[in-house]
This record gives sequence, C-alpha cells and structure tokens, in this order.
Amino acid sequence: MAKKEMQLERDVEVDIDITQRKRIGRSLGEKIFDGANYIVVTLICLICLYPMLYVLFASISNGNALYTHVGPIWAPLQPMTLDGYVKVLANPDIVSGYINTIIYVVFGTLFAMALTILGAYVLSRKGYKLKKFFTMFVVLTMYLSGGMIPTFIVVRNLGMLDTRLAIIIVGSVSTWNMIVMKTAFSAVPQGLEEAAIIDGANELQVLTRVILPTTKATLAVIVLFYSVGIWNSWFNSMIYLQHRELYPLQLFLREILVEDSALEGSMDIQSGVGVNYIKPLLKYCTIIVSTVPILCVYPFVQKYFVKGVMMGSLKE
Amino acid sequence: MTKTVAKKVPKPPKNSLAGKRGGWAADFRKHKMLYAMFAVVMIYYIVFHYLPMAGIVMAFQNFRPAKGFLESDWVGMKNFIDFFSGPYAGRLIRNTIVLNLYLLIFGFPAPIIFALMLNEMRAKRYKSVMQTVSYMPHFVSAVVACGIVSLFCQSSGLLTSLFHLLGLSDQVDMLAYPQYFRSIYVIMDIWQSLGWGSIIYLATLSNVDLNLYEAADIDGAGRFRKIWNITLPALLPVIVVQLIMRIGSMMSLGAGNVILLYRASTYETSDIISSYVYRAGLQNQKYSLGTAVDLFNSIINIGLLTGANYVSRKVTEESLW
Amino acid sequence: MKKILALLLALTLIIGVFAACGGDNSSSSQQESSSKQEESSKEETSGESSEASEDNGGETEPTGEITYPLAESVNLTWWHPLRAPSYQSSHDDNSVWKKIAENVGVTIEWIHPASGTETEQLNMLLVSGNLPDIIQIDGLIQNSGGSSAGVDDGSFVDLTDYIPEYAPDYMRAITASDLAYAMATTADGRVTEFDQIKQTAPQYSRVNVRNDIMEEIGWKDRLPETIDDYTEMYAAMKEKGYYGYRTDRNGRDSQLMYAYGIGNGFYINEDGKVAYGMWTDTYRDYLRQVREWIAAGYVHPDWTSKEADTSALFAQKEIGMYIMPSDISYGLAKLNGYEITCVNYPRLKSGDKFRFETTTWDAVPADGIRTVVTTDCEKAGRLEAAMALLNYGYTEEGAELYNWGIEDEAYTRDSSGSKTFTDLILNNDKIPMSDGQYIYKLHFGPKLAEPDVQCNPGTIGDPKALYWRELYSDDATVSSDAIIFASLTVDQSVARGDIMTNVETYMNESTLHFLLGEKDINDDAAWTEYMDTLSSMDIEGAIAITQEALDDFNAKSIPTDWAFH
Repeated sequence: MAKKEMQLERDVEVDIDITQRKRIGRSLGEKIFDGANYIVVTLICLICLYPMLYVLFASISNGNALYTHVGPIWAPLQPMTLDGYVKVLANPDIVSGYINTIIYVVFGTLFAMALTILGAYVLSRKGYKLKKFFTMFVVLTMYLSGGMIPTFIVVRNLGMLDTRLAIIIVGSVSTWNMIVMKTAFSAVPQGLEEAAIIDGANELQVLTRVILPTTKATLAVIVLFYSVGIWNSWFNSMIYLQHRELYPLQLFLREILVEDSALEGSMDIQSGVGVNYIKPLLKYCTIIVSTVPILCVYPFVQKYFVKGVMMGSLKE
Repeated sequence: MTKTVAKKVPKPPKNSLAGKRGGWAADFRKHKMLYAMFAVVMIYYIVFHYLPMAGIVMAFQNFRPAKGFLESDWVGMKNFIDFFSGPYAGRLIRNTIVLNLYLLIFGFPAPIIFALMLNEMRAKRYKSVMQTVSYMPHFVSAVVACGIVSLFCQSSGLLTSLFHLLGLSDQVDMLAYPQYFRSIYVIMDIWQSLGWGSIIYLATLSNVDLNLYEAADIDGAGRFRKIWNITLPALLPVIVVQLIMRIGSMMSLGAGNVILLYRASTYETSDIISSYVYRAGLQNQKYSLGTAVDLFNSIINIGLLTGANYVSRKVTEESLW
Repeated sequence: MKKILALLLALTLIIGVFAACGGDNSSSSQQESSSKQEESSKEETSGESSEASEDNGGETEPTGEITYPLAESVNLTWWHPLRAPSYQSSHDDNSVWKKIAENVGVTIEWIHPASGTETEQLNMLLVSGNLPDIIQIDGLIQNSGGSSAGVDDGSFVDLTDYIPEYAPDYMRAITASDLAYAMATTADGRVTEFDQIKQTAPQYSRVNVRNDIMEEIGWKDRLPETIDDYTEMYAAMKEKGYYGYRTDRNGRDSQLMYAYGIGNGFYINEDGKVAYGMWTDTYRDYLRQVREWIAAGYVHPDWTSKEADTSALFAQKEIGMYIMPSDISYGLAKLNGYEITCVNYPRLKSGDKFRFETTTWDAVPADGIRTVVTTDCEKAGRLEAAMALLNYGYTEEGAELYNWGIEDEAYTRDSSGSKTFTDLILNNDKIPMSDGQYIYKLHFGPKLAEPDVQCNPGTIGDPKALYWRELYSDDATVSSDAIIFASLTVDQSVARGDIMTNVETYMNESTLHFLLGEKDINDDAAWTEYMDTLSSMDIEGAIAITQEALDDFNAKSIPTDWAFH
C-alpha cells in the first residue's frame, strides 16, 4: 500500500514538474493526443466487447427464437431463459470436470514453469560453448514435429496412457514461452547479476535471488499463458484419456457443443417432431461457463503488469 | 568480476590438442551448473519432441494406424510428388504466403501499437478495464467468432454497409467474392489477437524503469520523444524475437479460421495449403499426406527462420541465436 | 432329402423375415434362378418388398438357432460412441442395454470415447494395439477403407465363415434380398461387419412450401410440378416480397438436379453406365436455370453462406420453399405456428419418370451403423459369444427390444398387439425425443430396424408427420434405377479419392462462378473450358473406378455354397 502511494506521489510530482516547466506544450499537443488515444482505445474495446456480449445474450435467449433468428443479435431473444445454463451446470460431469481441470492447471503450470524457467535462464546466460546449440535445439521443435500419432506411441510405450501424468507433462512446455522468458531474463541489468556474483552466488542463486524477483511481470504473463492454455485445452485429454473420471471440463463442454453442431450438418432425420431447440443455446452457455472463471483470474495477475520494476536497487 | 577475468584468458593455439581439451573441459567445469540445469530440460525435449520426430517417416509411407510404422507400405516421395504436381499447388502456396504477409504487415504491429496506446493512458482503472475487454475475442470460440463475422459480412450486414459507404465494396455478401477475403481475414485476425497479443508487450513495458521517463521529462522531452527513445528501445528485444519467429512460420497457416470463412467461390484467394490438405484428408486417410506437407513446410520455415535470424543479428544485434 | 430340407429352411427364412419386419410385404413365390442385381432392383422399385423372394435356389441357409441366454456368461468389452452424451454418459446406466445383455447372457463392459473426435480416438485405439472385443465403427473409418481394410490390416475378424453358425439371424437378414446381400458384403463377397438393416423408404426429404405464402400468390390448391412451374412460383413469390428459396451453398440441390435426369455426383445414366452429374452437358442446362433464378432475384442473396440458415429463413417467412426432411420441417412449423405442404419430386416435364429414389423398400444396411469384432476377441476365445451378442438384434425378440425399448416403460402394447410409445419418449420434459430415442430405446444399433413409418417416435408421434412421410410413396413413375448402392474397396476408394479432391475443388469453384455470374454460362468457350479441365483432372478415371465397383456389385449373388457345418 505504501509503495502504491509512493508511486502515485511520484506521478503527481512529475506531472506538476512538467506543467510548471512546459505549460503550453502539454495543454495543446499532448492533451489532444491523450484525448484521441482514449477515444480510439475505447472504440476498439467496444468492438472487442461485442462478441462476448453476443454470446452472453445468446446464452439467455429462447432456444427456438435463437434457432430461427436471422442476422446478428443485439439483445437477448425473448422469452429469456436460463434453461441452457441449468442444463449445462446440471450435467453430472461438470463437477468432476472442474476439479480435474484445476488439478491439470495447477500442476501443469508448475511443471511447465519449472522447465521453462530453467531453460530460459540457461539460454539467457552468455559465454558458454553450447549456448547456440541449446537455442537451436529447442527452437527446432517449434518447426519440426512427429505429430499426433508418433507422440501417442511414445506416451503409450512409457505406460502413461490414461493417466493424469500424461496431461500434466506431455506437450506442456512451450518453446515460444521459453524464448519470451529468455528475452526478459537477458534484459535484466548486468550490474545486478555482477553484484550477486561478487557476493559469491552460484548460477542457481543468481536465478532465484536476482533474475526471478526482477522479472515478475514477465513471469506473471507466462503463468497466465500456461494456465489459460491448459484451461482451454482438450486435445491431449481426448487422445490420451479413456476414463471419463479423468476428463477435464473442456472435454465435457465440447461434447455438448458438438452435439449441437452435429445437428446442423447431418441432421438426424428421425428427430423431426421432437426436436428441442435448446441445443443451439447450449453452445453459448458452454462458452460462458468455460470462460468466466479465467476472466476472473486475470485481474489478479494483472497487478503485476501495472507496477513497474522497483527502482532503486541500482542506486542503493 | 569473474566474467571479466574469464574474457582476458588468451585462447589456446588452434592445433594444440591440449588446448582443445582445455577449451571444452574448462568450459564444462566452469559452467557445470548451467549444463546440469539444462540437462533436465533436454531430457524432456528428447523424450517428447525428438523421439516422436522419428514418426516423420510417415511422410514417405502409406500410413495406416493399425499397421503402424513398421508394417505400413513405403511409397517414397509419392506423397510429395502428388501434392506438388497437382493443379493447385502453386495457388495454395501463394495464398498461404500472401495471407501470412498481410498478417505480418498489418497484424504484427497492431498489438504493439495497442500496447503503446494503453501504456500512455494515465487512468489506471480505466486502463485495466480496457485491457480485460480487449482480449475477450480471444476466448470466444472460433466457430462463434467466424459466425459473427459472416453475419456482418452478409449482403445486409453491418460491415458490408460500412464498406459500401466508404466505397470499398458493393452491397453483396462479401465472403462470396474472392477479392474481399484477404482483407476480412486479416481484420478478423487483428480483432481476435489484438488484446491478447498486447499482453506480452505491456508486461515488458512495465519492466521499464520509471526513472528513465523522469529523466527525460527533466530534459524537456515531449510525448513522442519519450516513446521513441525509451519505450520502443525497451520493446525492441521482444519485438525482434517475435518477428523472427513469425517470419519463420511463413509457410504455415492454420486452417481453422480459413475453413470457417471460405467458400468454393473464394478458393482463388482463400484456399491455403492446410485447408486443401484438410479436404484431401476427408476423401481418404489423412496422415501421410498431412505429414509430408508439414515436413515440406517445416524445411522451408527453418530456412526462413535461419535467414531472419542472421539478418536480425547483423542489423540490430538482437537475435534468437 | 436335401430338397425337402432346403424347402423347410427356406420357409423358416421367409417366416423369420415376415416376423421381424412386421409383415408389410406381400407373399411371393420362390424363384430358383440366381438373378442379377439389376433385375432384382428393377423389381424392387415397384414399391413392393421382395425380400421374401429366394433368389439363390441353393443351400445357403443358416443351420439353426442360437439359444439365448448363452450357457456360459462371458465378459465382452465394447467400444461405442455415445449417442446422447449430455443425458447419459455411459451405457452402464442404460436400461435397454442392460436387458439386452441379460437376455443374451453376457456382461458388457462399455468403453466410450469423448464425443466430437471419435475418428481420431478410434485411430489412436488402433495404433495402441490393445483392442476391445467389439468396436462400433459406424462411419468413423469409412474414408480409410472401413471394416474390410481393418480385416486386411489384421485388426478385425473376417466373419464370412462364422456367420452361418454363430450369427444365423444376421445371415437371414442379409440374404433376404439380393440388394441386402450385395450391400452387406465386400466386393469379394466377404462379410466383415454387422450392419443395421432397415427399410428406409418412404422418402424423408421433400420439397416444402409454406401454405400462407402459397395462398398469397394465389396457389392455394396448386403445387409446383415441373421446373417451369417453379419459375412461375418463384416469380409470384418475388412479387409479393418473398424470396423463392435458398440454393444449397454449393449451388447444387439434389432434387432439382434429379429433375434434369442427372445425379449430384456419381449415378447410373439411362444407358446403364456410371456418369458424373457435374460433368454432363445437362448440368449446363441446370446451371443456366438456376443462374436465371438468381439473376431474377428469386434466390436469397446470402445463399453461399453457411450462416444463412435455411430453416430459419423459412420459419421467418423470408423464403417460400425449401428442401428438408418432412419430419423436421413439420416439427418446426408446428412449433412456430405455420403450415407446410410437402411436394412430390420435381420433374423437367410433366409425367417424366424419376429415377433417383434414394431410399429402398428392401431392408438393407442403412444409416451407416456398423459393428466389428476384433482379432483380439478371437484370440481370447470370445468370438462365439461376441457374435451371439451381435446376432441378438436380428432375432425377433432382440429386434423388438432394440426398436421399442422395454415394455411398459418405453411403449405399451394393446390387446390387438399394436404398440405405442409412452410419454417417456414422446413427451419427456427432461429429455427431448431426439435424445430419448437413444436412451429408452436404441434407435441405432446392430439390429433389424423397423421402418420409420412404424417405429420412429418422430414420425409416428404425430399423425400429420406420418401423413407427410407416406405421401407420394405410391408414385409409379419413381424408381431407384440411377442410384449406385455399391461401395468401393480400399484401393478403389483411395484411387478415386485422390482424383476427386481436385475435381471437387474445381467443380465447386466453377459452379459458383457460373451461378454468381463471374463466368458466363452462355459462353460456349467457358463451358468447354470447364468440361475439358475436368477431363484433364481424370474424371474419366474416377468414373471408370466407380463403374468397376458397380459391375462387381451387380455380379454378386448369394453364394450357393455358403452353408455350414
């Protein structure tokens, strides 16, 4: 809390300073710029908001009205109904799906972060002979891959089929994330590292005492990327898991989604008189149910971006 | 201190065996912790990435899942020849590259600019709300997102009317005509990835020392000066790395959005390698053809990647390796 | 002695077939000659079932009955996609499956893949090499050769020699007609899977028009019959501010093409040879007509779009006609408060014959419901039990259980023996009928299915729906002469598939260019270019492959030596 106040104070100080020195400059050009900036950003965000609104409205619309509606939606179609949500949430598998997903997200992120941090740290160091080789070694995997079937065979031979371990480990480390993290690690001021080394720190300690604390923003971002990625993923689960007790949320939700789209394609000609138009509705409820938790998590992670690096360690 | 000392040690003469051994052995001794740390990572990659790479042989086979790699018939280069001698190979490659170029020119800078705009905003709460809203399209499933885009591009759709007013199009179902496809595709991509893509840049920016801005203010620098001299250089490493990796995927473009947006009447500009392979896979077994095409794309991509990396290193001193 | 036995067994076969089908076929005499496929399909098109006609005149009869329940209980594993995943996540909870297992005398251990990506999961299953006893492959691997490829790969069992002894009722079902036999076996006469056998007629997909719009244009008691009638009708609709219809997004509406005498794909032309509908000069006539309609504004402008849902447009009174299964169209109309009329197949000229009836009056493999037994099962010694389980659906008792569900739960039987579904299926608040029919009865399965007009809750649940379905089914000008019922072998399928990817890309693209006016359909040079390009893509090769498959199909007849031990 104190830090925040200090931050704000600093901002105000800076502002006052400038206004005192360049009153005319700020009030014209920069104010216009600021104003335009706000307008453009708001416009962009309204456009970005629309799809979520669309999904939200659709999810509480009447199923039949939704099915026979032509054109985009600007408000929930009457009569509004929560039937879709009732159906999705009443699905007995939802609870086990949520629990499994949380397990996979937590442990998957931990595992991925561990390896990513180690890899990124080593790649960001200078002056050792194998650096180029290591970098190429990991980057190549982004471009060359055996594909679904060979990976499946490896997993099978390791005896990991139908286990939670498969979901937590296989395909969890993203080279792209590692490169991003490496870039951030490389940008940490040399001085900080040298100071620690003088104090007798080894590589591991440099990592934990210097690098990690000063790159919290990037770390937070990568944690976000991994968590969201695992939360949304269903492909690996679909291939490696056979028992429904291990399925993550997304797999169950996809089943509901697919049932609806199967209707659109090769419509079951037998189902005429009894078609219940709740199915198109489910598609949208599914998206909301699977997205809202993540949207709630983001604000917590966001605070790491807002604050900057704590200045002063260099000067002190 | 240790590092400076190390730099001063003279290199041993090239042909001396003792020197050679000394070079590597000393290196291992000095950096053994680094190597140990990376060993863990390497094991993971070897098991889950390099071992499965053996499966690339599928590209040279007529792969059948039940027969596996050992029993499936070998067809040599047939999969490649079939694909490239087809009447559409040229068009598919062209469309893939052109779309990727459009995405590079328009789609790549968009999140950066957006991050810069957000960064200049002072009202913190408003800024964070805007941020959250901006990446919502990323979470809406592709099917729904493309559905919305299609609706707006219909003959009486909003987007069509807007374009018509601006004189950019006729009042028709825009997605039915090849000349609009690329623009719509790119606009949609920007819309979806703008917010989410800006996160990494915002995070990098938040690492920038505020003292620098303070110092610039004292020196009398204006807004744009500050952006040019402080903000952009701070972003440069991330931008360069992202750019290199983007160039290194010029030959690949996922079929997802394309398949949801294209029609047979727009194949001229919309049919790309992956969407064609998808259709081919619907006719008969997919695996061998898909693997062969992916392999070809990968080889080209790696070439592009190496090239981009080299150029970047020479020009900006930032590079992947 | 042999002759008497043959007669007796043939009689059993006839009676068995009658019982299973609910007796809607007239009696027919036995024919001693082994007839060619073409001849019997001509007979069948008259609308009467000829499944009782014994065309083989030989000794291909099953040895007898299987006694259920089986003496020794066996545990069988069955990989089966879920049909109603959001209401029932395992067949362990399904009362009908439990009863079936109980009646057969086995226990079934179910393995269910996650819905949506069953093909990938099935392929992974085959890769993993650890196969369950029975796999419900349905249409999942048809593109890569289906069950016969699986047999060649060594995953599935070649059932041919086992059928007569271990699955006699299935044998009866597939030998009931030449068409059934030809469709249920591979090109070389092997049986590699258990197919659902069903009489699919009468036709479900019909032209529908909205009564209110028809009245507005003054067509209260008139229905379109010829293509020119449609032009007149669309013009009238347009005048009143409606669109006529919305073309299929690829520009090809099957029933309209059929009116011209060409198929929407491979078909058999008047000379009895295989042709490809989109590579004929008649196709140009069709395109010309549709182009005229589009240019005149009769067709909804967003017709190339996936999103402009035809049903929605029809329900919103934006278009006056569409082509849709009558059950669904009727259901939609009922829910939204308007009325429809179903129209017979369109013709080019009044009184033209229609050769493209896609449904059959014979009970043949239908809906693409396929079950296989794996070699792992055979190695473990459970083959007989597995086949007995799968055979059960073709017995009288078994078929009734599959088709109707459990008595007094899913249906009730009155004093005269006729069955009606209960509200559990027809009017269930919690589970819509389209899902209930997979839970309280087994709408799809390895069984002898009853025709929709007898046994489909969606069709018989409402008398009006039934009426629309049965209308026009006695039209004597309608036949299936042009329809190819043959399937391709793995090699043929791969070879033809390779050609068709490019052919279809070019054909679809060009069709839309002609219909959108980007290319001029009246320009002879443009048309010649179209036809020549398709030729250069080897469409003739694809036709030849199909012809080969058709010839093999027609040459099939129920073998005389398919008897048993």
